[in-house]
Amino acid sequence: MTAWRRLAHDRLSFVGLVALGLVALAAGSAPWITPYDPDAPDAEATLSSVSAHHWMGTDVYGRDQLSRIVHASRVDLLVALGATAMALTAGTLIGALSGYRGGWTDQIVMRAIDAVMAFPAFILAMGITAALGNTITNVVVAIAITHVPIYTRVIRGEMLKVREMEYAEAARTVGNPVRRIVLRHLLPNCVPPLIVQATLAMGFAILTVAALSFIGLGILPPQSEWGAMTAEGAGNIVSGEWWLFVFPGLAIMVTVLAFNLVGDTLRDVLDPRMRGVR
Amino acid sequence: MDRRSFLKVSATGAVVGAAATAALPRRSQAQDPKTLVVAWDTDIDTLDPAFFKAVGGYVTVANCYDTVIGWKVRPIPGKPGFFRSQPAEWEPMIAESWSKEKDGATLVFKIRRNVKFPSGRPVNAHAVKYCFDRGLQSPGYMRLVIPSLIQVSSPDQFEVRDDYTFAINMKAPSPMAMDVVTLSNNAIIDPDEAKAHATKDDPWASEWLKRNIGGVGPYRLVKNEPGVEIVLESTKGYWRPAPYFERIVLKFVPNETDRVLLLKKKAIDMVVGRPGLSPKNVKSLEGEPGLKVFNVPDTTCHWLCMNASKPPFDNVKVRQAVNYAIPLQAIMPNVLYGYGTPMKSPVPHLTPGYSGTLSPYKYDIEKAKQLVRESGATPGPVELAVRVGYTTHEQASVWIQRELEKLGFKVAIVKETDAAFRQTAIKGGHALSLESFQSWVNDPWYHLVFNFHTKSKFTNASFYSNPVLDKLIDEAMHETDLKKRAGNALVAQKILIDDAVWGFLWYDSWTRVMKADLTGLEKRWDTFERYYAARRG
Amino acid sequence: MGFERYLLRRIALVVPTLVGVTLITFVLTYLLPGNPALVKAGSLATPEHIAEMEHKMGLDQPIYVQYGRYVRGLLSGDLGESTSTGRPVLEDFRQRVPATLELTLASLLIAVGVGIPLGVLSAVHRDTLVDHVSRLIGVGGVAMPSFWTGLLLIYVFFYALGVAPAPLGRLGPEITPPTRITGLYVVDALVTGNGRALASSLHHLMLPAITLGFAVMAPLTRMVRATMLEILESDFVKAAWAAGLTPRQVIYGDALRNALIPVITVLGVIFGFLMAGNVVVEIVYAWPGLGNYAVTSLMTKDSGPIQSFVLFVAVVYVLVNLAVDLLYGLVDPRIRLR
Repeated sequence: MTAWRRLAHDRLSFVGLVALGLVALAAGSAPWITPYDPDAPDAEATLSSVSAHHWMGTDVYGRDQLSRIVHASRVDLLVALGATAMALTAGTLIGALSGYRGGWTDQIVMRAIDAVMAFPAFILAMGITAALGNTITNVVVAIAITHVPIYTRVIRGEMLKVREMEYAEAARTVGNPVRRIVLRHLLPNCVPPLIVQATLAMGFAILTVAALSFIGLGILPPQSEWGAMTAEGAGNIVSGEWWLFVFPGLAIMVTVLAFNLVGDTLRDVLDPRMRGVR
Repeated sequence: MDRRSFLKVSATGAVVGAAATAALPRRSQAQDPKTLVVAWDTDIDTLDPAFFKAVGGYVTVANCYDTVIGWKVRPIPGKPGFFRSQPAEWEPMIAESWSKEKDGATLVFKIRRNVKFPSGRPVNAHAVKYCFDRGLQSPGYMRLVIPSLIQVSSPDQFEVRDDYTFAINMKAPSPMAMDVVTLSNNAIIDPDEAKAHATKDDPWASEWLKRNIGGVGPYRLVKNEPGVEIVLESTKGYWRPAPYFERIVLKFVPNETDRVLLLKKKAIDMVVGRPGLSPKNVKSLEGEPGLKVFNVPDTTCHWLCMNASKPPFDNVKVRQAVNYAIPLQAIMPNVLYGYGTPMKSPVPHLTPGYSGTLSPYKYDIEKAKQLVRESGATPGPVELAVRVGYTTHEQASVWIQRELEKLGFKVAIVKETDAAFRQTAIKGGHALSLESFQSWVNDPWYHLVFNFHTKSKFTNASFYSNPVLDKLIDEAMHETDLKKRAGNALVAQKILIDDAVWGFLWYDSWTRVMKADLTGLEKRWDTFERYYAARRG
Repeated sequence: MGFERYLLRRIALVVPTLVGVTLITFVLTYLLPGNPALVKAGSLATPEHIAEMEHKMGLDQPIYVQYGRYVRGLLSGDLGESTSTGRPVLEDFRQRVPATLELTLASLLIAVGVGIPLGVLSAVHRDTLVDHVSRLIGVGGVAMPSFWTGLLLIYVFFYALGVAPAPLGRLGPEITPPTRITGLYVVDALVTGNGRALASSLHHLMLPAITLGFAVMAPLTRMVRATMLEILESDFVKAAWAAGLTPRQVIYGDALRNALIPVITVLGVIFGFLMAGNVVVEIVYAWPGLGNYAVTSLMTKDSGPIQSFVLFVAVVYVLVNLAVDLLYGLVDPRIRLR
């Protein structure tokens, strides 16, 4: 529980943790706490500024922005979680296989991983989304693919280490099935670095979606999603609808910041060797 | 590293900033009044006149090449300094006069004697013939247009009567011939220049003309740096009086927010392009000191395209229901901000033969529901495709989506890039989409044949097929009796409106935002601006 | 292991990586919707015309033949042709690489010039307000979408305050570019002694470089902070304190130098961020570089340039990482054993 204590102790990380909690809470309770239907246009209320009725104003369709931002947290967390879960699963399986089999399998897998890592993550995500089309699933898949190598390398590294360790050797001779070796000895060593990487990756995923939206490859309307809202709202800085520019951007900033602060502190605590990398 | 060098490193940033700030006073340096600075977001893909091009290519060609004749422009009442072309009015360009023979089946152009190419060679009837021969035979896009629209299939039909008389001998009179001759795609090229750059594989010098200007016009291209700028300079010794602007600088600015800020800051003279600025941004610039907004109704049609070959849109009642469900009363003010005209007919409202009284459609969701019930069709999930970057389409689709869901559809909006959208459309892959079309030739039958004839596989995006209408179009295409043309156009519109082929949305207005001192701006049928008459004050 | 063997082994690893990279970019291109032949032929082309184009472009051949053709093209410097500029992609690249390089280097300078001091401050004043603020600045840059910060900066510094130039590329309209030596305007202007061009290009670089620099600073700041913390607690620093050296001598002497060695490893990562960040920042500032070109091509579904851009970035990234590894291997011999 030192991790928790450290998180609570470090003031910035604590703030980050609280922010994440609030975002998660908002996402969980969105349908019950939002005052309006997030997707219902209202021709009478288009582009209203911040008011008692609309705390964060309305957009060009007269939709309540507060309701949209709250609802959007679900999509964004889902994308971040989805991409991370997918990458984590694929990365773990591939890394474990590669590390366990060794030899040619390992060689081929590692060359493939090197090839994927040869691309800056956003560039590859851009290429993949452009190729597959920009549905939610494709965006998630694209982000996941760019994150797979992180996990694969962590797991493979641990796997190799475990393999060489004598106790693994012993366990194998006693007739322990492979599955048990992995569960007993491998996972405990891998989980801390994986948690750290996954936390940071979620922040990246949200930013990636926003940047993809800006260049026209993001998640499709009218689904409310922070990245798309920020990309659309960014244009309104010139026409005076500041609320469309400011609030979605803030939502992204706060969430990503929170993921990063928490991730950084976790890294210091759980995984001192990885400090600074990625 | 000692402390001093450490400080050096961290101070570098500050030095960069300080040095940059030193440059400040230059910013407001007076701009050369004889230079027009324009912002847009297009590059030159090709300069070959005969090709279909990006806006950047078209505008450059329209300013650097003269054509045989031009669309005549007249002042717009109530909008001093602005001009627009009128139906069936042309002005002399390379040709000083023209006449018709054989009831209009032959067009005769008298070529001006004082016009020379930059090479010093004269612009004469041989050059004009070369350009039309080239259009008909080179790999461009005119080889499709010329035979279908003016019934010329052999270069022999382009006749040089003497050095300064050129004739087009069509199979029959064609009401669109004058417009086709006017298209910038038929710009006059120096034949010797082109031949000098022709190769065995490329007898029409398409490769060379793609990157070079081979004709004469008020401007010449002096710089083409894709992604940065295109610079035009006025042609020395041009046959008409020199234009006011000596230089036109077309800056590549990919971000619309930047374009708005540049205008507000008066760092540029105007924004052009398609669309260049969204209606919302145009509206926000109305009344901005030092700027003015020019907008005129235009012929570009925008509609909700229903694929008539796919259920449930093969059902006429469903299509009618959709037309009653389109919330135009919300779209016109909230998407177009008034820079458009509600669509009442499949024919543009500025086109001869248009009728605005045939359409019964207006927003009436109860009637729409009723029609869906009568149709017997069951609305289900459907995708509505729009193109990335088409702001008005994206916004309209959100308004439409909501209403269609009231009819029982489950609408998913799909954004596609231009090329992907077109490719899917041609294969019939869209059930619902937002389409647009602009007829360069302002003629109802030009418009109808491309959009509704069964054989127009690439442009009939609705996959509408009606033998009665096809026959009507085939007969009227080359009909020269204007009364008959207009009368038949009414019949065609009635058929299309009753069949609810399009979901009627709007006709665009052509809008430009510019510095207040600019005048002499001309809007022609093809929407590509010529800067020859533009000036300050 | 000697440095030579490490060098050879490390270089040998680059080859399969590059093959993998071309395979990925090729597959991406093959999957891109929007038939390039159709794009090229124009929207009113006949099916025969399109078929002719497809044949000409080799799109009717089996995939492996196309891949072979693609790799042969790459090796001979043929990256295809851009449909939106009508020029060979290589020519477009040549025009735009200097712009991107200039922006990347300037941003790197800002990231290093601001990020390292922030990290040091943070470590030295651990758990104080200075630490919190420094960390927030470091992480804050990476937490904001860079198009958002970019537009905000343009709005404030160009529109509202008028201290930044119009977001219209690399030089003011009245300035002619300096004589081309490297293509980097700042360098060329310095070399040729062209003061006006130097001032204008620095002025235009200011906002984009700040936007991008801050967006990539985070890993650097946190790395410096972490290593600095470690070193400040190490025995030799304790010994230095004991020997009566002033805090300045300790912190800015041995401690900082040792803290900076691992920073080399982050440079590769930062470079990757910079190449990715270029795409968005160049659009926001109308910066005529590769990222801008890639997005324009993306909009016109011009697969040639996109594929070449992705490939180009990957190749550069691989080489930069190679250089970083070799440099680190030189500085810190332990790494060669891994």
